[in-house]
Amino acid sequence: MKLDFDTWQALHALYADCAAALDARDLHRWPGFFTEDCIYRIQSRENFDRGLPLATLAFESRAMVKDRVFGALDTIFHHPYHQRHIMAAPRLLRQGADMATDGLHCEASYVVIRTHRDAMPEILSVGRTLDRVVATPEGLRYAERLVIFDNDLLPNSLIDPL
Amino acid sequence: MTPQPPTWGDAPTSRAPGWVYTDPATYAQELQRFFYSGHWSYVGLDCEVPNPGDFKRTLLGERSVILVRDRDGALRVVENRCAHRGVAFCRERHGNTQAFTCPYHRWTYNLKGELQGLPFRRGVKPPGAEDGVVHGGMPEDFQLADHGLTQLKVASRGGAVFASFDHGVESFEDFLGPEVLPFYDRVFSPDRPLKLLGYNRQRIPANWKLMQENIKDPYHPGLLHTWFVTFGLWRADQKSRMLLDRHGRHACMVSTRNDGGASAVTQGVNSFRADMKLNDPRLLDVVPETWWGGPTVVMMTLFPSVIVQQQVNSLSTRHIQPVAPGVFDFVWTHFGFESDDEAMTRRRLRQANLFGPAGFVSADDGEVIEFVQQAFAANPQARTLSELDGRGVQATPHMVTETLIRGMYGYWRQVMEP
Repeated sequence: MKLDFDTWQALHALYADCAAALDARDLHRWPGFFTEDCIYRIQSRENFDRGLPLATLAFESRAMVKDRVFGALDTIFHHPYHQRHIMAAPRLLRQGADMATDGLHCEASYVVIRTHRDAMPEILSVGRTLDRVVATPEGLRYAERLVIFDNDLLPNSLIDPL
Repeated sequence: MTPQPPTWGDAPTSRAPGWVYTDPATYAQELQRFFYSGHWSYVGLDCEVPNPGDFKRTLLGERSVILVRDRDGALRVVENRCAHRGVAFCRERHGNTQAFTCPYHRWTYNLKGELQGLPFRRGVKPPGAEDGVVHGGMPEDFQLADHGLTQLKVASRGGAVFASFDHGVESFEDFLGPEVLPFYDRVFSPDRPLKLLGYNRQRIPANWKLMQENIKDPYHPGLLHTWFVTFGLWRADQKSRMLLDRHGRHACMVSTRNDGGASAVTQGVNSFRADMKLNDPRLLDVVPETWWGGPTVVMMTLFPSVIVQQQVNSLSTRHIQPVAPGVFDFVWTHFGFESDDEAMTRRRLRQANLFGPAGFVSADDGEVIEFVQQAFAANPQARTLSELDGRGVQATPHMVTETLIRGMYGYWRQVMEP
């Protein structure tokens, strides 16, 4: 598997820009990184490895992703915090025959550090994303993003997306 | 000498002192009196261990226990503590096994927790020694039968499993009582085997009782949770009732959803959003089920260890596992029924977005009880004020009340201040 430089750069930019939007809490930009009928899930490694379907958050469309943005910004009461993604470069698992429908299957390790107001930073989540990235007229977008976290315990609550 | 808990004083039961959430001696006594004696605690669902040899490791209070299905198909609960040196030998959270063997000295137990054997029990014959010469070995009066794992009393009813270290505890049915048992049986029925959907696990920096109180508090959901008030899932103008067992320790909050929208109960409530619409309405694609028998939501608090949630099509047990006076782990097990079709399973999974550590309506519960804990840790002499709808304890035909919290502290005081 070998990607041409433009595709590699576009893939890298998708990962980096998506993480940057989340870390800047520019959440209204976040749904734009997904296709309209995207899958987005945050799931424990425990459930994922055992084949149990429950996810901590599970969305089946960009519209649901937008509903979460409204929830995180406007309806879920919580102590304010900053989050910071440390993302590894995506590892290409498989290149589909058609970039528009099948796309690139990738995996990337991440650490998200949360800094609550008045507190020391702590690891909110650590794990990997399993992604399927497709080509659209607007550029590369996530058709599927599964965030599989290693944490056995979440430190209290999870408000913003990862 | 063990430090003694502080005393409540003359204040009414509606005004709990902050030290009930922070005092280490109180916490230690709660573990003894509520978790380790006189009560049944939740350990799991029978669908988590469907086959002989299947086990699940969990916690009862702070003590590690194993729910296991023995070779005869019976459910057993044994303590995860080797009788020899106390090793918590079971490290996997679930699995299937023929026997339990402690890695330290290879003591081996069957699935009932009975000690089967141990190395060098009869000593070791040294190389070249005459017959009859052995080194070591256990004393002659050592009996395998005296050194099994701690076996707990087990109650399994309708697919949920409870256990107690106290073999003198009353029957599970008497423990729940005639007020609560029908609501328990409504969810857990032998006619509807359960299907496991998965887990959520969170660590909440607050005292374990604050979560019981959160689900004995029908006042807050229509005020804290935008989704509940806006979409009519839980708010003060709904048909509802609050009920308790005769001790006031267990409770049910029972209600029937309405259409939401503006009314007297949304005036001045800034969590209410008149113009809010879901971009994807499938998040709340509610389909009534015949077993509901009317109510769309029943939240059961079974003291001390578990909350049983039915909120529209989403079902879970929420297991309270105390860690320290100011910390507990909260383990959500979502489930459906074997008879669910694929569409119903998907619906339950979609609605699970409302609950758990990231839930649209549950994430902020963990947050607010953390803030309660912070305030009382800083000032344990300050008190709560749970006097909505008076200072007494009684079932109510409405949700504008804190009667269930007062009921719980009435019971708590009976047990803690005999």
